[in-house]
Amino acid sequence: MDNRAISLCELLTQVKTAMKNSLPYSWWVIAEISEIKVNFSGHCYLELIEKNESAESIKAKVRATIWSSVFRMVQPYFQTSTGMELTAGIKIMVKASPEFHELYGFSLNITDIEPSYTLGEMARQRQEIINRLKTEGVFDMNRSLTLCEIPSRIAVISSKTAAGLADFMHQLTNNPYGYRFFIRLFPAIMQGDEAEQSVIHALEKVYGYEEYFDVVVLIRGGGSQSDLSCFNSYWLNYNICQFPLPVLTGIGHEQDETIADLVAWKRLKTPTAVAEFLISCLRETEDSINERSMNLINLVTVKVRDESDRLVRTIMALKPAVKERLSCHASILRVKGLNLKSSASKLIIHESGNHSARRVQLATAVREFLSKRSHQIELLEKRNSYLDPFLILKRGYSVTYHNGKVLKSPSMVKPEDVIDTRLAGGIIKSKIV
Amino acid sequence: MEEKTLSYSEAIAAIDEILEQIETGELDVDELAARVKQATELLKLCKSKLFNTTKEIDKVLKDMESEKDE
Repeated sequence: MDNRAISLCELLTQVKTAMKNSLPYSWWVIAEISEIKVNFSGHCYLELIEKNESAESIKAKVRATIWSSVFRMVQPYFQTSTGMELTAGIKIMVKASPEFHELYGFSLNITDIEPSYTLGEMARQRQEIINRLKTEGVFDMNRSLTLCEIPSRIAVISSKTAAGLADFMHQLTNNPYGYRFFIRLFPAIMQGDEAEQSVIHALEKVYGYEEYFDVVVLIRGGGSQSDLSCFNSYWLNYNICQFPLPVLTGIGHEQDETIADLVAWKRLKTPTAVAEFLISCLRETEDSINERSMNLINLVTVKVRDESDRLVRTIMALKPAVKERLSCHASILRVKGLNLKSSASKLIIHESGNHSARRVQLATAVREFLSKRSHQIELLEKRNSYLDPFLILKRGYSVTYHNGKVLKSPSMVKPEDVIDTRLAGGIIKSKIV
Repeated sequence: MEEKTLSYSEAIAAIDEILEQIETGELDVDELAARVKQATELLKLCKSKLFNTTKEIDKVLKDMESEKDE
């Protein structure tokens, strides 16, 4: 038995030789990084795994090494191509040769990497998640919220130590306009394996105080471009989508947007940009208030001017109206005066007419009276004429006077008296015998 | 005091209504002064929301602080 036994080292050397002979080549291998570390001398040690279809269990696992001479080239190449560092959780395609070492066992020696595979893989995964969120109808939910006009109550989800956080706080609290912001930090781990759960937990906490905040800000200190995977994760984005307050991202990366950037209410590049945006919102609000103030002043000025113009116009309109009214009345008066005059004179004429009529009447009456009288007189005269001594004389009668007195008796005379006998044809003087 | 509970958008809506009333000449001169005063107060309220704290938020921030301490 003893003769047939070989030392462990001999066995492992044989394994090593057999492997070298049967697998002399390098292979392009697809695997997921589950662990990665770089030691002080620049060598990179990884653990690569392959999960089964449902990603629940691991069906293959191997150690791998990227020697520093290779790593110095591969790492920047990968980073500039993909915008991310080699990190746990990503899938890579590497050129590797299987190696076996008596002391260190089996491992893969990585000599090259194909970043486009990782990019493609990430894009595929990303698209898958986006599609899922869309199918579930949550993709646009956060984006369709309305950000209030004064987003000054801010729930910040960030790591406590992030440099970006300090910038963010400083910028808001020292804004040049003197706006007052209420900022409350909900600390979370922003990268690594725990990031997804940590950020979700922070969101849940904010949710408990929802009514006291206007907006949620997800920020990450600048610097490292690595590991944005949590912002591309399904569950975190599912939470962001359905969060009742608008979520702003300032994750601080230059590369393609993460899914969180897509589903967030607004994506800003850096924490500083988020702060600027929030200040600009308040600025806009202040402008719109000022605009209304100006508007009010203008409207009131115009209104007051219009009203006073109207008053002036009314007064101006009143003047001629009054004048017209006065002149109208004056002319009415004049007309009335004239009327009065004419009717007075008419009256007078009329009256005077009456007078003359009366005068005529009177005259007529007088005349009538007179004529009547004269007629009477005539009659009387006529009658009298019968008594006229002359006429009587004419009829043969005579009258005898003595000393101018009518003799009515012979006794009135004595002889020798001269008497005058008046006859129709003359007077006869006779002496009484 | 009642106005203190108005939200920004409510206050703005009220201001806009007054502005419109003035603009369209619905307001007569007798009402003008009172409405302008009201609008000015609303504008002041809106502005104060940009610059001032409310007791409400101070309280909740304190609550959160104490929760954290526990």
